[in-house]
Amino acid sequence: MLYRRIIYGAVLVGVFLFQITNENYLAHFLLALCIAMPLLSLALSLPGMLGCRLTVSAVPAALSRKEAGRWQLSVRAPVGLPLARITLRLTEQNLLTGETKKRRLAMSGVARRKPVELSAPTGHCGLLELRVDKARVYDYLGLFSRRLDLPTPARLLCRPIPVATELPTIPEGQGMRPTSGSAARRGPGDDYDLREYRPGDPMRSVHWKLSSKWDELIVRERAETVVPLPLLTLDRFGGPELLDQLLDKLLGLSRALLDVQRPHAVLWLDGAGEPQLHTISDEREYAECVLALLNTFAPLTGPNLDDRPELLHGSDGPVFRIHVDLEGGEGHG
Amino acid sequence: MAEREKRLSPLTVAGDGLLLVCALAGLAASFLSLYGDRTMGVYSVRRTALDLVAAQTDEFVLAAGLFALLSLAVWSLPRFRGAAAGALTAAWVCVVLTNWKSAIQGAGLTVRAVTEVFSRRVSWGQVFEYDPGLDLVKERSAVQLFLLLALAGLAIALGWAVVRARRWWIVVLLTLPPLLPGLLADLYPNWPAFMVLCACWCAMLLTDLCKWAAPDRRGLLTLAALPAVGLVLVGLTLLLPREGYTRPEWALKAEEQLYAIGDDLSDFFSRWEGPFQSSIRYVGSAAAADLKDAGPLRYTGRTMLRVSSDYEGRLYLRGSALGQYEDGRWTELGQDIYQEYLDALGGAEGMELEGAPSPLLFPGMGIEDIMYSGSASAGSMPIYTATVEGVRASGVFTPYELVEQDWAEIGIMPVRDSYLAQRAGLPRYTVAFTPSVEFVFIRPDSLPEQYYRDYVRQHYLDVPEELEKPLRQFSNDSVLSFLTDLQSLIGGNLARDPVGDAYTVAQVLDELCEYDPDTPAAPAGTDPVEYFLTESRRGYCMHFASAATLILREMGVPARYVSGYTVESIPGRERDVLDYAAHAWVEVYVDGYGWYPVEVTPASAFTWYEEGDAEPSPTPSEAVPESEEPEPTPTPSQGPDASEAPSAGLPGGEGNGPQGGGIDFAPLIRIGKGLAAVAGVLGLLWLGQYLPKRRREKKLAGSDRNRAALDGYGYLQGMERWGGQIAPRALELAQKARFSQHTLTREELDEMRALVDEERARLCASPDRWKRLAARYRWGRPVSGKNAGKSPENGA
Repeated sequence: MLYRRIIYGAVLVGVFLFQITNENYLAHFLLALCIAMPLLSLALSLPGMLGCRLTVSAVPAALSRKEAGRWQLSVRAPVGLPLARITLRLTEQNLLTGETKKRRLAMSGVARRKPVELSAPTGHCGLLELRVDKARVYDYLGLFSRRLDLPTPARLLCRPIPVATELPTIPEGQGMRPTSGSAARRGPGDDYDLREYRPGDPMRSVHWKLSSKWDELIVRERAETVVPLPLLTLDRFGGPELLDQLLDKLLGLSRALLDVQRPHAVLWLDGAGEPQLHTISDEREYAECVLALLNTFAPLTGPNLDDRPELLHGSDGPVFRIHVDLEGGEGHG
Repeated sequence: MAEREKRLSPLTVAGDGLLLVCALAGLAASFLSLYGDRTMGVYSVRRTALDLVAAQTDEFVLAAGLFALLSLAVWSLPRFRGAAAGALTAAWVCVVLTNWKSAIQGAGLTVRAVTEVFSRRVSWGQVFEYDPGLDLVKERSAVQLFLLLALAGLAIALGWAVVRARRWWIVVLLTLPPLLPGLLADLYPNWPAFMVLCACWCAMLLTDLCKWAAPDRRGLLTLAALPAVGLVLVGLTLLLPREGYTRPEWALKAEEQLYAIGDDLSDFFSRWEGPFQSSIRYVGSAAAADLKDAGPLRYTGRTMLRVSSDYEGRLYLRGSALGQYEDGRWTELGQDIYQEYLDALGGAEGMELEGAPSPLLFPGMGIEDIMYSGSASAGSMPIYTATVEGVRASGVFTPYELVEQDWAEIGIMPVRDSYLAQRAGLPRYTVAFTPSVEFVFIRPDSLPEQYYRDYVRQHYLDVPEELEKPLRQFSNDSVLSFLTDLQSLIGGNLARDPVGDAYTVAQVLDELCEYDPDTPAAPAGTDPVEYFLTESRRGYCMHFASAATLILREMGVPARYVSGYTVESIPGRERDVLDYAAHAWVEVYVDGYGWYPVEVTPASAFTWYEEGDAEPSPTPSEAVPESEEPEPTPTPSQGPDASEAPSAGLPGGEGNGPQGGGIDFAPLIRIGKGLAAVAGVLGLLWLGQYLPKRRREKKLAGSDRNRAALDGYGYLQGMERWGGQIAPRALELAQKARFSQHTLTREELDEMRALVDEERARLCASPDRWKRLAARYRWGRPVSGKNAGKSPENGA
């Protein structure tokens, strides 16, 4: 609206000079009208300007990469008259890749509650955020403006497209280990280990028959086959294209494991080098893991998991590491 | 984008309809009241067809309303409105062609009426001469037809501007020009009608930003804005009534300061002789006085001269003396004629041409024994000095009866027998004069005077042939001849007494003619002096001085017209000579003495201004008493006061002075020039953006898709220099377009266009303000951002 202010200023100066140099009544009237018009414009616009509220949202809230997504900017005006003009300074950011785009938007004659829609950049996966940095609403002549309260930023989750991947062969058993399952859950095919009684063992686990036979308290303990936990690891850094491919592949593996109901974990190092471990055994955990993967910044280069071997040992049993990279998943125990 | 093309809501149609009716009806009523009513009033010379048509204003307003509604109906059609508008336009053209002759006659008569009104009020502008040879009734019919056709045509254009284009400036461009001549000429249209038109303009302006809003909301806004604007206009009219309006004091002070700044600048440049100039230049010219363009007097109150003198009393500051009257215009005789005197003088035995005194400086120059050397007296005669500074009225203005001085040292130089020129860059000059005794300096034996006397009798008695009869008739009707004869007899001298004759003429003019500063310009085709003497008998100093000069010549008294200023001199005080003090008077030639000034403007002129007072006396009741009438034989420096001067001897040609009878448009012209320069620069800037943009769009929309894609790539390369980036896909498309045997598909070209637009939008969204502005200017505003607010998809 700078140009309108400049034009008005020029007109005012011209009319002012006209009044100064001309003794005609018309010059006087013109000057008065020139001063009165902005005030009239402000009086007509003010109710709308004061009651105007702005909200931003994403539609849909989550989608797969390359699907069409939109930002919606809704303006709520309390009066029936249209708002003359709203100017916005927007920042669109992909929280994963750090790509930032600043946009300026001007909306004239905003009269409907139907939101203004802008296309969201869903070319790369990540958590997309739209912030309104500055918002102003103008009067009908475009001379006065009021700063609007900034709305809460909108977020759109742009998920990777899981690539259908053949699962690597994961060893089924690596010995047995006792488990604390209750007796009620014992089944006919369960394996058991026998050991001496230790204080605290439930009485129900005492194998009375053998205890009487060996004359010492023998405890029966259910044992299960030790199956290594698939641990999907990835080096979460690189450019947007690289990240897209890595995440596509990672989520393809994760999805495949979920499909066979194989709990697994995903491990990566964030930008600060902190390990991020997410176990996935159901859809909810899968979604949480995806969100965690996408909502923090991934630098172009970063620490390698191979430099942190201590992280690769499972705290609760053996793990089978499947490292995701562009060359193909490599699994090893 | 599509929303504005779709059907309009009832609210929108109602709002647009009101705007259209206001525009057309307001224009019709304003136009007729502006030119029709006035021509029947005080400014009317004869009844015109437009006067008769103006009596039917109500009918025209009704017709305007009907045209507006018809146009509204056509332009608001949801479908086929282009065809309907075309049919309406075709019908209008058919009617125009059918009545072509009458319409042209009506147009000519209307333009004539408008220009007549304009030219009578403004000192420039030509009357459009047109006579279709019809009687008044037929002329009225022709004007009616033309105005109706014009209204109908305007309704079609206005309908498009209001309903479809919704551009307020188009509406102003369509409706303001017909009223502009009248408004510029200080005429007022019927105020309520004009306010209705103003309400339309203002409401359009207020809704301009919402022109593409949802139709129902837009209509609602129009319906809200129109009465609000109406209330404001009514309020302003009531708060600032036109009756009794005088320019506010602050405006007068601001104007004075403004002009002081301007004068300082112009003064600086006018006095700056440049780095290489060393010779002395004299500048100045005898300005012409054009009575034909002399309309009502308009003053600004600006200071023209600044005078300080040790003389107490009224000083007549003479500017240019004009001796040739032709076609209502006074001009100087010129060098070729003056050469006759010089030749005669040069041929005389014993005369040195170089040393011959200028006739302009008679009689002071004829007194060899009075040479001003700084003393306050020369013998028994007191000598006064006057210092004159040209504030705006550049040129030389001096009192009469100058004492011989070193003119080169003063910086002024006589030019022929007409005026004094000043040295270029001279800020002020001081001259000595001795206004003590009348005709003391008559020197009948002065040889140069004898030659000049003959010259005067040859050239300062000329009267245009067509004026001889009316002048003679005026003399006879006014018993002027009897009075002059009587005066001669009483004076005991049957020979002509030029000064006495001049005052007799002044008396007669005072008796028969009325001093009126609002006198309009004489009608086209009539001589102003003849019109003044035989018909209007009202005028101001220009008319009185011109008429008196010609009457005196007709009586055989050499006379000429002089323009200058009068000032009430008070010793020890510097006086500002305002433009109110510009004046015209008559000089008659007295043998042996030289040119003698005579005041011929009636004493009622005193009521117009008093030198030193910023404002003219507003009412005739404040007129100066009879005792202050001009004395019969005023001394050159003690003459009575009068009104204004037509032109005051400005350098640089005609029309630079405070032209009598017209609006002083000089400031407006200066402002206009400045605005035009600004507009020119802005226009060039706009062209600099518009033409490349158009070229770019044309290239990218070319039928040769490969070529268009390559052009698009070229633009991307251009943007790269501005910090843009070329997407790999763009390079791929360009390579395909350049090297592949296949033509790019439409989708691929669209993709390239999208890439160009995207890059352009990125450049235009640069966080750096200047870079953003530059990019927007060079590459145009991003389409997406602009349309985002307009497109229906995003609900704006």
